[in-house]
Amino acid sequence: MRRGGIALGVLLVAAPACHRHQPPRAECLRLDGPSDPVGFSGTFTITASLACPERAGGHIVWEQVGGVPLAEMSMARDGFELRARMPSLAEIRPGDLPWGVVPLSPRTRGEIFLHATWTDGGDGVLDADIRVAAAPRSRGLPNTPIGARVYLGGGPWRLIAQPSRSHAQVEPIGGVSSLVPDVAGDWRLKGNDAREITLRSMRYDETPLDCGRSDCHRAITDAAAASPMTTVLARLMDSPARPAGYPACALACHATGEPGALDGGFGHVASELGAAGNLGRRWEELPRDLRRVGGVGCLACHGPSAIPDAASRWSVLRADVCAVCHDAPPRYGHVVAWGGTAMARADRDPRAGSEPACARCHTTWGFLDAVATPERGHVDRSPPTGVGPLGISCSACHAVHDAKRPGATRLLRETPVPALLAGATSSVCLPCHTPDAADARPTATAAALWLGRGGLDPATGAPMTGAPLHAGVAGGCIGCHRGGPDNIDRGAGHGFRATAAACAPCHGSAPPASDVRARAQQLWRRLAGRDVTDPAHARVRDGVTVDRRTPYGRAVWDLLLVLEDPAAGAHNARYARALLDASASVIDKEIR
Amino acid sequence: MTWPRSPAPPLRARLSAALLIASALSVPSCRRAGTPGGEAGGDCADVETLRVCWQAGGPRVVTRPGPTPATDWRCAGAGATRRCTRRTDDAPAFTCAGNHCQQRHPRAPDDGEWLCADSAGAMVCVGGERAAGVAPAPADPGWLCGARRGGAPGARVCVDLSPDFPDGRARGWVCHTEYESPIRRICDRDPNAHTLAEACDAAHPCVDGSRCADGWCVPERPAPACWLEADCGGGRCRFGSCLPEGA
Repeated sequence: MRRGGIALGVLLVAAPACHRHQPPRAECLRLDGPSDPVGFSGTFTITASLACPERAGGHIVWEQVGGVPLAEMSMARDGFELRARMPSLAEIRPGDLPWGVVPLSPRTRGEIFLHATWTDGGDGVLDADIRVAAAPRSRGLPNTPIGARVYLGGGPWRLIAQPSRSHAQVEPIGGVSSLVPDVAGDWRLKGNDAREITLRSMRYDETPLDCGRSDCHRAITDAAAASPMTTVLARLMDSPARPAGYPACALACHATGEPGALDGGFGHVASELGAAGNLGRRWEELPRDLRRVGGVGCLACHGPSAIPDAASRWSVLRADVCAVCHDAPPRYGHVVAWGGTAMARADRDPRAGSEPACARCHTTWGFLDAVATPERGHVDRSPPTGVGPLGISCSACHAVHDAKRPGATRLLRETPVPALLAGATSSVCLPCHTPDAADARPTATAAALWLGRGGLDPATGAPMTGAPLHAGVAGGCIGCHRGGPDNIDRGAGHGFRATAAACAPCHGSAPPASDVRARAQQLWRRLAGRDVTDPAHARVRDGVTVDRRTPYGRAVWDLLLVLEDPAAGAHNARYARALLDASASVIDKEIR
Repeated sequence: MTWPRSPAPPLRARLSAALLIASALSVPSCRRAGTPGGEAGGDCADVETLRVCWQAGGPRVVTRPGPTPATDWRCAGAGATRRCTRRTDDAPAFTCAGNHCQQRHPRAPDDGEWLCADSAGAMVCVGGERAAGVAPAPADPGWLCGARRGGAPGARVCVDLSPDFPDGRARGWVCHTEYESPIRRICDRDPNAHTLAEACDAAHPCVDGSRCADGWCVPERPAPACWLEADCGGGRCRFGSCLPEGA
């Protein structure tokens, strides 16, 4: 794209984060721009200067190399001055804003990267990068750091109570209410629908870290001590392979707090420490107050101050919490990839998100409640009405502070193996892709088909098993389901697509199209007199009964096992065909 | 800003000078007055800028090894394991307005949760609950720690006998830690304040819980165990250690 004569290609540069903003030829080309967020629809200016006496004159070409396209951009003084305007929040994040604190990731906060290239018309070439953002990141939680602007959806909002020493006011920015908490304390605000929200603010470094006190969260505290998220900064600071510029180049996601904000986060504390804030040393040599906000600790996800009140705890299960670091495409595309999956929309049907039997596998809160160990007890983290679909988010599959088996990686949640799949290697996918014996109809049967389990001999009722043809695939489900969007460095696998490329190592090429799905649908049409609509388990008023005490009922059960898995032909075509054969032998007679 | 240290009494000053000359013969570096080589067989710690060893016969002030000026350096350990860091390398300098100074991000014994108070030139902290979600790091070796008597399981008391002061000297400062945001250590100039590491003699007694040894006020052998008097079961709690009644 070209705007105002400036090459403005959104070139998604893939470069190591700790080198990305410091190209080797940057020393002589200095870029000065806003260090604080400029606001949605806000304008800003970047000035360039030559810092080396042997360089003079020339001109600068600018290129946006990352982030949402700027709304306006113009140059002056041969490119040595760039003026631009951020897009509005509505342009960056189309659709209605969520009620309450608006979550903002690097992608949705309007973080843009600009690359400047200076040339003197001859051989002289210099380049440098700069990053500008419209807003600080936000997890969308009601406990927020001091010094970072909070945007509020569902407004306009007005303050009805605030800490006595506060001078903060609600300000509309780009048509959205916003507030910068300026002291520790509680803010009560009322929205245009008379609903209230309470924001609780504190500096990160002044928030107690006594989560394990009095056995409140002792097991979590024990597990978190060894978490790779907790130790990321310490490990890399002490690594012989410590990247150049580390940790300053990675503080946004390897430490707590927003770089540049006066929030008591790592960057802020380092600046307050003066000479003692020197980061060019080992982890254990850092001052205590820096170590307490170093790494991705409790507050990096849960926010500062205190655990939100019970009514707000649902919000920590949103993918938005992880998105503050994992939604920064093209380098970190986990959230973008996940956003394109059925899991991200699993609770779009209000019934799926509210009825307990459905919520177990259609919501994060329902799933966590279902797989919780008895000692964890029941915690209601269901969202209030009107929040909209949240999907099966990160924390369903990733348990960032659970104790792990030795050698376990990726912070995957350890879940009980369903009884039907006894003996299978544990996988967090299994509980929601395996039918339960208590189900009136089989639900979400992919894992059962994959392992050749779940079928019933129509004649005898004995279990029908089949060879688990793909059970040996390394990684289990994600051994094949690891495809996602292109142009993403990390996290594309969260698209969970099983592409032909996943089959190639064993099959050489894409496997031939399977007849399984068509056969199953044809059998269903004969049985029910209509086409099957996905998912079959949700259509209980189709007049078909599944009484597993009868040969007919068991035959229907077997048919539904296959119909419930749209990829039955890929997961285990041989077993699926055996189920269909068994089912057809009874249904055909019944229909005749 | 700096303030001159109170001179020691003349007799002790002469003795100190003699000791200083003697120590200079063996260790070619600038040292504060003290008994040379006195660390052998004793538990030793830095008390302000002094080096004190507690032996069977009581505390002795010995030559303080390490870099100079002593006010600029914070040291821990003894012998080959003694390590010193420049104070401003791991804690911010005080900022002062008149006689009122404050230090942001004051020291604490480790990364855990602590409540700290100043006591006549020493800093005493209680708590020690582990910090959740923080990568492990060793405790600050400059603190002496012990289990709190009668406290909750795991509760500890730690004492820093050589904490930071605006001018590096304890004398003449009254300090406390303010936990109202922003958390900071505050020191106010008070010429009448008496502390550890003051010069002493019969006419100049030491603050309660310390004794005059070699002309300087030094604490009894530290055995951190108390935060409140009640922790000592009838004894007194001074500088984080329980002293027997009447001591």
